[in-house]
Amino acid sequence: MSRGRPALAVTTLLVAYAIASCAPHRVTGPRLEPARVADRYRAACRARAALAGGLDAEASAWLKGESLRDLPGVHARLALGAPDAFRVRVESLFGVALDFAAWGDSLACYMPPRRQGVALDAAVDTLGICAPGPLGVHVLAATWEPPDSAWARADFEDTLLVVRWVEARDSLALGVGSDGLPRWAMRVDAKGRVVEARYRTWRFVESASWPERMEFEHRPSGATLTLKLANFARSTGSALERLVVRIPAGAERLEWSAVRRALGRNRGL
Amino acid sequence: MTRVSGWWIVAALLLAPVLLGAGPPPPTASDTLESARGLAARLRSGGRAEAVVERRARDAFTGQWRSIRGRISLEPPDRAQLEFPASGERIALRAEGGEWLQPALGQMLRLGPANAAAARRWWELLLPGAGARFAEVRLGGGRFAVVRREEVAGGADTARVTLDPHGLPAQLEYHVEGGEQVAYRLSAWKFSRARGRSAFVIQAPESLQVVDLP
Repeated sequence: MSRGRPALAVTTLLVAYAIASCAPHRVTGPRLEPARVADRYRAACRARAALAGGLDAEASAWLKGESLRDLPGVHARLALGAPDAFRVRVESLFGVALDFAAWGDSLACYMPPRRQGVALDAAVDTLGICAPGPLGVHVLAATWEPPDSAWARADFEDTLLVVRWVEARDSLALGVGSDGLPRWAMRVDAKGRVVEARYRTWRFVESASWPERMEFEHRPSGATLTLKLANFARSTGSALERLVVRIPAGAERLEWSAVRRALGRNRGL
Repeated sequence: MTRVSGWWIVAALLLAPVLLGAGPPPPTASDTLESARGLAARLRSGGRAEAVVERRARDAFTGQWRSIRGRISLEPPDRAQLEFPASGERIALRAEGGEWLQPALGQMLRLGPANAAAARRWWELLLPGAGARFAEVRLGGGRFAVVRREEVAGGADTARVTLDPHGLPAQLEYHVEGGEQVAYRLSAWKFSRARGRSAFVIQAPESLQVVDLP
């Protein structure tokens, strides 16, 4: 009897080991070092920035919000001129509803159906947005540029490496996956107003990973803009033709506040 | 009393066609633009016109022309329908409203009179009765400049119509300053019996969101 007990114990251990070996394992891969994720982000970001120097795309956009009425989705053309310019032209079979461009600190917006437009040389004075051109490129191309010191402080939150930094009076944060692609970016201005960009799906454009479906949430208003990009093409037109919105000589020039009111009323073709 | 009632019945019967036909009288040749008279004559005998349409617009980004092909159907007094199979877009327009199916955006817009009128603003000049709203200038060679009499929000106020050798519209083009330069090429006209209003109403598929516009 006494000789049998150790044998039984050994057998039990062997069977238990065998069963445990056959059972499915939860595989937890080694977490990447923050520096490795940062390197992947920088490499992918450089590829996007190079492409964003002259890229055109078509966009479908939907704006939703509790305070907004039932707004239709719209089709738009998008032109990027990294590092500091972009243009969005909302159009349909019945013509162009709105043409918007930003470059550096300036912006221009023209509404052909109303023959009204606005041009601002220093958007920060009116909109409180410093350099809308570069900001728009960063948002649309996901080419955020955290400084090295911010990467050094970056830490994982759940599965994303989160890096935080300050630009002018704004606080920014970026959540990056282990593949080096950003999942979200957040900007909080000096007044505490939060705008968040969420990069939902990605696709290859040439050899660069590019955000295909994005959501932008403006928390103060609760409005969310969903943008889906398609039909990417390297630009063939001149930068002046692609990126500049011209307000015709006979058009009415408005103050920005009037443009906002006009856009709010614009529920026509 | 009986005799009076009889008179009223006779009078009512005589007036009925007039009363039932209340509204604008049928357009006369003088109400129809000269550029649309060939089409109007064929519509009088059939009631419905269909054509292949190619929409060409100059791309503001590249300067090149972009085009999409489809079909257009017209029926007097105020009905137009455009279909573009490549995008799945369909637009039905009537005086009192219309529908615009946009599968790529997952929606159908239900247009009220204001937006339907904006969408019809150039197609209506091809229909009989447009003479009251447009003036035209013959440019020669089957080409006409057609000018809207009233200024309407929505861009261009002048279009050019070119007729084919049969006197039917072959091209309609306009330019919105700061907007688009657009040309619709029309070909392969066919005429048949009118199908009526129901052929110019689009029912929304359940999968699409319906958005009402004024």
